[in-house]
Amino acid sequence: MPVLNFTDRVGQTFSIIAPEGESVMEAIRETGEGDILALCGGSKSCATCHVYVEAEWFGALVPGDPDEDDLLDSSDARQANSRLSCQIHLTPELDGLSVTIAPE
Amino acid sequence: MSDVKPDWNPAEHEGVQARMEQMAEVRARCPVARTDLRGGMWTVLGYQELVGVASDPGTFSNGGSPRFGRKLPPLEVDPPEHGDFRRILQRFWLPSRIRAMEPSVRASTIALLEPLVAAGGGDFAVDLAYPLPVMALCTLLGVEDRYWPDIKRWSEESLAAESTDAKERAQARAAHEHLLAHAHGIVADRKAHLRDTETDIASALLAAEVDGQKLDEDLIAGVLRILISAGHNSTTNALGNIVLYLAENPEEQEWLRARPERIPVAIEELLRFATPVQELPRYATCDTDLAGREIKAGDRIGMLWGSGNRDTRVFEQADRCLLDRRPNRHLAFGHGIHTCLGAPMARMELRVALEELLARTTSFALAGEAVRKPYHHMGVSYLPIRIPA
Repeated sequence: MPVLNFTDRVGQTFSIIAPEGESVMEAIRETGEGDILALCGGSKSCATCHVYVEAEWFGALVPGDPDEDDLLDSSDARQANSRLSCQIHLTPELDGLSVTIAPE
Repeated sequence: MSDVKPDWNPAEHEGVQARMEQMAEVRARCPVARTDLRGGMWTVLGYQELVGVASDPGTFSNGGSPRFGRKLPPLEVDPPEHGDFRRILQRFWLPSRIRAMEPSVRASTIALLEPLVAAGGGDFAVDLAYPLPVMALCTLLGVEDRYWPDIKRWSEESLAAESTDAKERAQARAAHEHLLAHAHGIVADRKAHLRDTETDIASALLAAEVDGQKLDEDLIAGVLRILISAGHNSTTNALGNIVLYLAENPEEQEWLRARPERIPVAIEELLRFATPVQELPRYATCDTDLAGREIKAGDRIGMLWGSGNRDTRVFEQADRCLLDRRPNRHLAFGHGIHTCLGAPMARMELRVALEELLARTTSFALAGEAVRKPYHHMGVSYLPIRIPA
């Protein structure tokens, strides 16, 4: 099972193991840490699971679609490495993925 | 109205097992199926079809037919109005907020459980599942505890708004008026004595501005009204279903008892397997095609979440409850922009209740025959539990 590293909004870091196929949002929510709202439950209808993906990993992800792009545009905190964590699904290739939860 | 021939009759079975089997058969044959219920409507039974409808609020509106005349946001409104309300409300369900409420929910749980454990058991539907979620809801909304019995009773009665029984419909209407009056009371109180807008939902709604305008006070009362009842009925049902399943399946209970850290994952599976909110409505805003069916503008669509959660195209062994199932992208809290706002709170309440129940007992079992609520409610009205000393 892939290892996922995430950093919360106050800079605490966590390293967890999550099953393949699960989204980064679900894996983070499962820990109860990170204060990630994920309001729509992973249905790509809000931008409350916004994360920054560490540069070395960003290119390894399946690119987001136009809906995700629109939703990210609604966030003032958008950066070049922004993604919705509900749209990143864990695979063996993403073992060691590292993300930071974006400000609200 | 339409002259489309019905594919099935959802009112045929009240028993849960028979209904599940019927839905499996219909789902395989036509994932979007016509019925004559409520003057003719569509039912969506397939997982992918449910996700498709819920992801397209422009075509499938929540604002079509408010149950009590006036729309209650955010549930009964569409974008962009919907987003305005969700943005104001959403921060009250952040994990940090939910964590802050946990000690109070745990204290309520313990206070309800201790007498049951001391007595060697009791009716867990009435003495635990019924009061706990509404007590938590009162804490969330800043409503005094003494109001919970009234709020609970009115909320349950208001669910019968579409009953075929005229007396039940009238009772639902009256209960709705009571809840709305209570909501107006909260608004009046906060107007006179505004509380911290960071912690009090009614005060936050009163202080909020959308496009430079304060919100209409009747709408604020409408929001509070929907939160007052949406905030506990389904959690009550979920808690009853969960305790019933574990009482009926001692090996599963033992497995979970030995692994309390797996309780959150198990709760997700129990919500999938016994989905408290089996159905919610949508309305087509235009003529459209859905899984090959011709939907007409104005048609009512029944979103059968509980059916999607048993769809074998998505869930392996969908009719088995596998407590360590992951990933588990179930639809128990809906999907899309109307996904249950209170889901984090419901999850916390269910986890705390299960943690305390398992920690305070060495086993529990049914002491008699449990009584399930008739479909389409998925809950338990009588749950006699025996706790060996």
